[in-house]
Amino acid sequence: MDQGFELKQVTFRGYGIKVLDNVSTEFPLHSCTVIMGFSGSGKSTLLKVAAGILWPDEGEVCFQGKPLNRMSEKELLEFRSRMGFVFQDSALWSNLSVYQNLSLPLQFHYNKKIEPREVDRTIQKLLLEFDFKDDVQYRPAQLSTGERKLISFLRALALNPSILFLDDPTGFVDNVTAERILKNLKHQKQEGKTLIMATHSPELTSQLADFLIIMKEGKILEHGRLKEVVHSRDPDVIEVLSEVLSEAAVYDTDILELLQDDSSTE
Amino acid sequence: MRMVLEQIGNRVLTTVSNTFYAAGYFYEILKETARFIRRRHVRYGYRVLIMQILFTGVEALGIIAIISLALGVVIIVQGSTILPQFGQGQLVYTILITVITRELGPILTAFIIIARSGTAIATELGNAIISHEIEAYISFGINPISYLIVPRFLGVTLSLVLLNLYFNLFGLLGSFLVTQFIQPLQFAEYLTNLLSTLRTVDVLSSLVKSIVFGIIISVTATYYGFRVEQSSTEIPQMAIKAVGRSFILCILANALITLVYYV
Repeated sequence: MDQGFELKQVTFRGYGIKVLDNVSTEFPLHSCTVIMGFSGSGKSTLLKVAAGILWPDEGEVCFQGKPLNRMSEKELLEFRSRMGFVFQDSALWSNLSVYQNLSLPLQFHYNKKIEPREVDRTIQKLLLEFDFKDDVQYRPAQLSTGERKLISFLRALALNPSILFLDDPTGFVDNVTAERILKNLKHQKQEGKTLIMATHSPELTSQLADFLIIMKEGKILEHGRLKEVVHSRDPDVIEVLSEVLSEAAVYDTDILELLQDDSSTE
Repeated sequence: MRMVLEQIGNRVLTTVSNTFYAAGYFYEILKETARFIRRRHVRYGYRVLIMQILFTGVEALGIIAIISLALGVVIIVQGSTILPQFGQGQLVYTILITVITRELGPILTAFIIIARSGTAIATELGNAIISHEIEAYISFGINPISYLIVPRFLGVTLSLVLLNLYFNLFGLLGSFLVTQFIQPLQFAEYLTNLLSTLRTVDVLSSLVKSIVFGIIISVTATYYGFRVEQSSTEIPQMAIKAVGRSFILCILANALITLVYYV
């Protein structure tokens, strides 16, 4: 595996509360790492810290061996142009239209190197693939929560990034859209892209994850290959997995079977 | 006693820390403004700048016109009625220049902009933080200072300078036209006397004030907008702080510039 992200003893405090507590982990490139945990366990914060959106209070985040906080402005911009981030609450720019939400990253990163026609072509391709039928001149407030989530996903794909941070990518979306997102993510993975995802979805986990991280109260309980983690006999891991997946009753047999069942319904 | 001293100490430390933070923030704005002006071809930021000028400048034209006209009319009518009784009829022009050009023009324009744009900017930025829009900009490598603050900084400052000029035009010339219905004056005589009273230093003082007020309003409003952290209830609190601090800083700056003018 290529050297990707490495978090070294990262602590992050939000408003005085330790959200991440001395977390050390790695996200290899060209693979999919899924982060699971109860709501409020620090999954979203871990994603944001790894992506360099939030800066840790202690510890450091390295990308390909280089700490993000020691990157030059140019290097950081180059790093950000390679990544896309899907926010849990969409975080669309509310004073811009759907079209502008999708075009701004392209205009920013390519500026005069990209023709408006090319921007339009890229956006139309994305909208068509996901069968988005509403007016692209709508503001985010005029969309449903699921549509906003979809546009957030498409915005992250606009730059064709090689690293995707996904915070609950199928949350709030309908089943058909969730299927399309899953299909797209499988395609991204096949192309060798790096996926780092926080989700509660057994389906996404079983079909995409190479590695699984289990979090509780800002700490990493377990981190390893999917099969290893789901076979863990650590009672805390079992508790998190069973409750997160709402399958406490079946967990005592084998969570892997549950995950494999999901993949067989593909 | 010890607790009181601790509290005072904490307050002093917080104030010093906030002052350094604000100074650093202002330095960042100046740095990014220089970049913004250098990279004139960058399309995405200019849209925000144009929208800011439209909101702060163009949409305030109506209220500025009414206030400046009313003020000019009052000065002309009162001055040309009372002052000749003391043999000081010519002083009306000095009063017009002093009140409209040097003093009330810049400060009233600033007050209107604080009330309209200062609150709007602080509220908009506060909302953007709560809804994680700022994080979304960062995730794409878009510097929020460069994309959101600099266009507002330039837009508000430029608008304030132009609105001050507009205030002067309406206050000095528009009010003359209105006065014709009440107390006819010769336009040629009025204009000659006005221009002979107006000195370069009056124009310069007015211009400096409007630039300084524009900087104060935009920096204060954006600073407090960015101070919102986690809850929507902080947004009106920060908007109120932005307005209060802007008023105080503009009044202090006005007094300081006027003092410099007379020294």
